[in-house]
Amino acid sequence: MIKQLFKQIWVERKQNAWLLIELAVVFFFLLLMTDFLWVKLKNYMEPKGFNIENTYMMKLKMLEPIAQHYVNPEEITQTSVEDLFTIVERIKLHPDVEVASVSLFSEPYSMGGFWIGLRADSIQTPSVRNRMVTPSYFDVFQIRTPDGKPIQVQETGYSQLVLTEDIGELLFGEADRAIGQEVFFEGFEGEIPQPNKIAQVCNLLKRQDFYPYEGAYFEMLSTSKYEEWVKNNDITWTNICLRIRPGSARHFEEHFISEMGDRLRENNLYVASIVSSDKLRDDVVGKMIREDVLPMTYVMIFVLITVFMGVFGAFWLRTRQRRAEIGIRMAMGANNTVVWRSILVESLCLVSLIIIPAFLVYLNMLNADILDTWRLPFTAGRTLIALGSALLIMCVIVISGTFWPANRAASIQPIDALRDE
Amino acid sequence: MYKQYFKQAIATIRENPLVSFLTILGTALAVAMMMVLVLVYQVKTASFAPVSERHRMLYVSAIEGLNDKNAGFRGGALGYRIINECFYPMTTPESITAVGAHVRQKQTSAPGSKTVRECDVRETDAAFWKVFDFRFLNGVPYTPEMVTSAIPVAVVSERVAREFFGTTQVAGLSIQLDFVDYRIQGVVASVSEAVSEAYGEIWIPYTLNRDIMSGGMVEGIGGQLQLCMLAKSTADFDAIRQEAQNRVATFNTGQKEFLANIWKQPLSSTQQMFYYAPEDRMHGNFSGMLSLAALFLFLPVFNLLAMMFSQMQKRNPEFGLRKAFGATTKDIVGQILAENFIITLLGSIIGLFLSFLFFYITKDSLLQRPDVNLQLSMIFKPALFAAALLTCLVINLLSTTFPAWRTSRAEVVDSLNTNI
Repeated sequence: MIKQLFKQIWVERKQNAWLLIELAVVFFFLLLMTDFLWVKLKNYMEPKGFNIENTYMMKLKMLEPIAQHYVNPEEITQTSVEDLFTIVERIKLHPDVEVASVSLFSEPYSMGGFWIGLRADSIQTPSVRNRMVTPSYFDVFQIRTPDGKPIQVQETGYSQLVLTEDIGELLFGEADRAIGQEVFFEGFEGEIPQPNKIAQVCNLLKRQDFYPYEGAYFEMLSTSKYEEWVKNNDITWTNICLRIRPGSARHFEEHFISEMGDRLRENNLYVASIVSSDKLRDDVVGKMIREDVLPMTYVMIFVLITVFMGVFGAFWLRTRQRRAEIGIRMAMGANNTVVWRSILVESLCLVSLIIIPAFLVYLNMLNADILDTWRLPFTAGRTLIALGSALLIMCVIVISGTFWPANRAASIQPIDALRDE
Repeated sequence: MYKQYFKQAIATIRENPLVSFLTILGTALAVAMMMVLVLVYQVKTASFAPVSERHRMLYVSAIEGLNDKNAGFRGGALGYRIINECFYPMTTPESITAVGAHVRQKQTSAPGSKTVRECDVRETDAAFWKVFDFRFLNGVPYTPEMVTSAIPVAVVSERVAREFFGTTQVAGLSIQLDFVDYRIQGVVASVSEAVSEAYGEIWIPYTLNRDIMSGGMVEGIGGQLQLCMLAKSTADFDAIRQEAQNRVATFNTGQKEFLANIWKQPLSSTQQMFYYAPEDRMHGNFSGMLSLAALFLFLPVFNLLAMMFSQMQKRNPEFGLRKAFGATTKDIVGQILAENFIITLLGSIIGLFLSFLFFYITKDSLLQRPDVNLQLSMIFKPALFAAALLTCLVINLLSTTFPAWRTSRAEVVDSLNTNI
């Protein structure tokens, strides 16, 4: 029967040409859209590698000379790093605070910082994100080892690093083998590279929900290292992150700063604001959903409705014009079901003709990186999911567009149809 | 004759209600989506307080300062020195103001209030209050003298006043920003973040910011300020641009190493939306909008074409008959176009209403700001209706011309002989 149908499609190729072009264009759009949404959904569903529930971030500032409480720098006896750790110690004493850490450019959903290549033996990684943190950072965001154990790093004078799993694998073949090994930073020429010891390997990490996993290394911030860093940089770039005890969130955010009062200020350094990580997440991820994913979904709904109407209309007219043919077939002994089924199958045969060309264009676009291959690499799985869901939508549209006209066509009396002839 | 077309169009709709319904709905959707794009554009460039004179405004928001090795400062905001020496003395604009390119967060508290939070603070000069027409609920703006002598004074928004003091009558009271006491000069009605060039919760003189006043980077070209100018009329735009360019050229003759470049700025708000000055190219917004518009237009046209082809085939005998009685190809194409136009027009009207509805539901996501205060004057503009009519015509021409032309060219005998 199918061979017969294809023959019929071929005979009517002139009438079918336009419909075929339309179906091809439509299917191509469907492919692009299912691909876009799948990439977004896949990224969104992946574990992020950290837990921001009940966590907060604090920003620091320095008092201006015209401000109240400003202390003349000559009268200050301790360094700004000491000021900072004094404040952190006081914050830890707050009854709601479970654990607090100090970090630079490392908070989930933050940007900034710098990227540098790592080298071990002859293997060199591409640029990897640097994150400078105190060891308690891993407890604040509940970052674990790949097998789910807490990360324990001691503060020592030695330069200690924690690598993410992917970087560990890249350098040493296996994440476990990395622990205890030495790596070097890719340095400037003539510089003598300092070895760094890998203390632990942690799970894969994301910068934000819609990004792919991002390789990173954590540098442990010891006081001496920090003092060194502050000489060339601004201490107010530092952030204090903390995790509070479950259940105290509501009270905490509103009252923390006013409750702590002067304790959040040491000499000229003070805590300027406290923001929940949920808010930081919304600024990045919520914004992306609002400005990127939602509009795309609107466009998709528009395309779906338009496509549905177009295909429905085209099949409707097509079936109606073939009343005479249907009449003959019924007069020759075909019953309702046979007619109905052959119309439906013919529509699906038409669809099957355009799948391959549209899919090839889509594959080419992926191959040429016109579509997003950064968030999700070009794999067979990805293309099959896009193809499968686009095909499903297409079939639903075509079947529902054919169903009613086919049903009506099949239910006419042969004599009526034959009179047309 | 047109009455006849009209009758025929109605008859066509009646004869095949389903297909007509699909045609009308298809057109309506296409028009609706196009109109949503137009609406977004309209609202984004609309004039409303505090930018009631937006159509007369020009902006310089980015600058470049490079030395002969092509190194230096690219595409950031302007430094205080170039603004002071080069732009403040400009004579063609009615008034000119320099404001901080971004709001700055400052920890805010007030005596007697338990609230402590970060507020969005905008740093401005005194002319800011002339260029933008904020509505003062209490007090007055700060004066040029206060700005010059860097006195800590502030204007706060209604929301901040209520939040920290419980009333708007707060002129003369003091408010603390980052532990510095500011005297409140006035209270203004809150503004939306959509007015990105003037938005803030608290406004203070930028002269208090030591970073800004230190002059700026690369010999005072780069910094943290941007310029908004109010022209006497839009006819002055070219003269203002010319003056700005001349002054930059003069400024450059006095430079030791770095030369300033403002490309084709100052730009109007519409130009700013579509044109990216530092790279002399169309803005990403615009190309995105164009490709969306193309999709919104061509997909429905594609659909309509498929339906038109089938319909034309059905009416073949009718056209054959008309041709047999002397109608020309032109007559027939004209008739089909006119008939179809009535149907598309109907679709466009429905589409226009749909677009209002859709825009209203999704405006937060489309305008990318949750707090835009929509006014009817922003939406109902003649341009909108003109755009709708134009879209309607384009859809009509694209979807009808080719099938009509093909049908009307068929041999009379063949047409008459067509089986329906």
